[in-house]
Amino acid sequence: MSVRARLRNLEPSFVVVVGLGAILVFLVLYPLFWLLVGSLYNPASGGFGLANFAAAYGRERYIIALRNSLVLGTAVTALCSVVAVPMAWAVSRTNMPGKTLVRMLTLGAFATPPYLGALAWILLAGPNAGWLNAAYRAITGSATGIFNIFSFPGLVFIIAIYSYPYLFVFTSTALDSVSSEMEDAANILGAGRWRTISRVTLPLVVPAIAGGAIITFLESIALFGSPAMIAIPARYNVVTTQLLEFFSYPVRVQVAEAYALPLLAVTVALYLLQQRLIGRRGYVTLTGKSGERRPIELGRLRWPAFAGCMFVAGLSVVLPLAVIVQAAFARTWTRGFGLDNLTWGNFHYVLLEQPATARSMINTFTFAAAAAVLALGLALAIAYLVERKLIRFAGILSFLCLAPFVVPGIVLAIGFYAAYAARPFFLYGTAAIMILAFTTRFLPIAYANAGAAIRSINPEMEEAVRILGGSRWLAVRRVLAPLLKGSLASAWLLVFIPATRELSTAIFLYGPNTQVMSVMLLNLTDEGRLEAAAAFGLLLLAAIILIALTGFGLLGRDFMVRRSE
Amino acid sequence: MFTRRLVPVAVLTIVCLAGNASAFADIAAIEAAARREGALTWYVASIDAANAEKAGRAFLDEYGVKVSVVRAASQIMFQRLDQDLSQGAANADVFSSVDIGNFVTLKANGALVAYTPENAKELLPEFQNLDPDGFFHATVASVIAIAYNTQKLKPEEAPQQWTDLLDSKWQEKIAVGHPAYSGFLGNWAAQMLKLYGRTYFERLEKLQPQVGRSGFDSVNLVSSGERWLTPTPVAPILENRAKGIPVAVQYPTDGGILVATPSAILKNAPHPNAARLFMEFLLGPEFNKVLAQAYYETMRADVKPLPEAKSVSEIKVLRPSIEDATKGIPEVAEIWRDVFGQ
Repeated sequence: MSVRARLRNLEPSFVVVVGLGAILVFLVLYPLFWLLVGSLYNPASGGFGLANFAAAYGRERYIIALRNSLVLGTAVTALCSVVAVPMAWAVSRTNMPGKTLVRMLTLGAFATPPYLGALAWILLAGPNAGWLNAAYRAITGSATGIFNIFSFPGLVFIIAIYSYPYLFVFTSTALDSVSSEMEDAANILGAGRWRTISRVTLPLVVPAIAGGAIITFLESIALFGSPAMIAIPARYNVVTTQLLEFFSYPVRVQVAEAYALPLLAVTVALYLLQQRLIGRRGYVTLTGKSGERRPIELGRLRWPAFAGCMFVAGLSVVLPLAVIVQAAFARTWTRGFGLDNLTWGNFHYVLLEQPATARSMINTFTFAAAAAVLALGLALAIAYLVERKLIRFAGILSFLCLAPFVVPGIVLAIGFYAAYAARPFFLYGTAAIMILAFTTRFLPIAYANAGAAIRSINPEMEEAVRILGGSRWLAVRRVLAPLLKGSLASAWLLVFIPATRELSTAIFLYGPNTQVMSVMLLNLTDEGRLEAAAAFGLLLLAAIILIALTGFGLLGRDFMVRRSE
Repeated sequence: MFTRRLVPVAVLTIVCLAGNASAFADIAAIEAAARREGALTWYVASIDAANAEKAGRAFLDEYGVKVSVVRAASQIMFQRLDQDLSQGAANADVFSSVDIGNFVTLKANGALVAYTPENAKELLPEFQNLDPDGFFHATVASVIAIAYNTQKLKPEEAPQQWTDLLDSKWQEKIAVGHPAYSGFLGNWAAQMLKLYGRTYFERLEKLQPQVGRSGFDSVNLVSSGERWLTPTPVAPILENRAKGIPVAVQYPTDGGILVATPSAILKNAPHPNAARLFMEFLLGPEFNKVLAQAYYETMRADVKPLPEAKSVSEIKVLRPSIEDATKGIPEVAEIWRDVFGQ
């Protein structure tokens, strides 16, 4: 066969696969490869060996930090599961009142940068001056407060109240696509309400819960901002604060790489576990056939369920927002509410007096939007190939998409730094390195959402197109794309929002002209300018909420509050 | 080309003028070249962002050269610069930070340019010749003392000396910045180690102080009444006090720690003339006025500090040597991490 004939016979999908594979290699594998090589490299001798691992695990406090992170991740995931799964069920499947409000507030919790939440909770639950402790002392006459945010429970709490939306969204999205017919079938066969829930509804959404739990776990051990603000005063050393120590001068990048690599094993294990959980059971629930979703009557439990949801939302959004607003408009936050304490000065300071903070706002939204488009486009293409089993070895592409979750943002940043800052790419300090790092960092979220969206659509609909003579591309364009529109828009926001608040990747990649808001905000709190930090955080929040509401307005019921009627 | 342009100036100088007037001509040439460069990037850790921007605006007003301020805590800023240098990225023109050890390292690595500004002569004697070779110069100084909350403590109850901070009555009442993040607190801890040894930190640890990331952060904890006491530079204490916040300064009798912090020009500075002009400015009266308003020490006799800040002649001060910083700070940071667990 001539070359020309071979080329003619070349499957277009093969070209697509090679292209996608090359992009993934560039975004994921190459930086991780540099991490691996770096961890074995000894800069002093120029040789390779395990010396970095010996250094990384040769001290008790390094091992303790590792253990602390695992304990922290487990505790946060457990707390989030206990909170988010019942909430998601109540919102998706019951006639609880105020469901839209709960969804909106959960979105608010998701939109709140964890470090801004940490700042708010320092104002609320600082052991001496915090508002809650002051209130408690005033009411009980006690000499001491009862809350201390600077503690292990405080750290778990502060991370959990901003991480539960992952599990909530995963669970409720899955529950939304479970048709009531299946539950009806169980009822007809004699199962009671709770038996139906535990034997039919919940098992159907177990993969989604497991997926959400894994993301929660990985997200919480990779967090940098909250530990920097809470764990350092609490003297609870975790992996990210330990990595920061390795990165301080004299920089021990190779030791840090060695220190972070075994976490890969943890994630691979979790990923395999998730695969096992999904198993070979089919979970196609959106069939293109009529499926009715009827809310379950909660009866007398309606309002207590609502109160429970509002309690969680109150802790993560309402109270923190109140103290942030107070501080943002205060000359000094400790002086409380009062006309003589009101000022626009903090906004004036961050918008007009500080060119760097103003510029960082533009950078933040440009980088996040670009990264969300890149990540989602890539994730969607790969998820489609994987879910429709169009290619062999699809599992490898899938794994590469999920792999970045393994790597704490800080370490990913170092991988990127090692791979792309210097020759031949020379991306150090550029917008490109920030956008590419954000893309890689949030590829797993994009992929999980794209995968879930495609999984929920029965291939029969596309197969119908193929049978009727349409191409694969026509099936994607005319059947899949319209069906996916809503879930893709929310998936874009699910990448965009965390990208606007991303700190741990940015902190080692930003240059003088590519600073982002998260870095500026941490700098402001570093300086003890809590009022200016609150004002800046409020601007960030307002912008995110505006964008989310625009999405909500454009997509109506398809976005986040989908099918809650 | 640059040299060529300077030749007529130099010739003119030698022919027409005598003595120190030649230096004046140099500055005029530098200023003209700086105006052509039009901008510079300032990596700064020794003062906060608000005052750094204020200084940048003053420089822009005077010379029409725009200053891009990049501000973070000392060790973070140094880490960034180190990254820049190892990547061969020329971002920073001027670097101002707290830990003098960083400057010694940069100098040894050949990353700095020797340049002695005309204004160096005008510095107060105690701030002159920080580096005999002229690679870095003292530009910002503050005394580390004790901040206390005046609603929680009367002046006579405040600790008189550093060892008084170890009294058991301050259990859970102290805030302190981490010496491995803050340059100022690194200097403080190095002096405590020198004076009182490792046991100082072991006893401090037992009191469960709240460890923050920087000295400025801990001032805020004391300002809010979250904690009562903290060792910290005087400048942010007095700045808070001026805003009506109930904090005051206690100068320890065993010695406030006078930290003179350096600035230097990077060898790979993308705006070498603007950088030199900015070094002149940092040692000049305009910048010192910005410092004085923020309650830092003034470095020149012709700019008077605000009356609230005690002059170093009125109090006992310890002056860390260069060796105290280069050897002492890394050593004490490691001891701190072992004693405090992170």
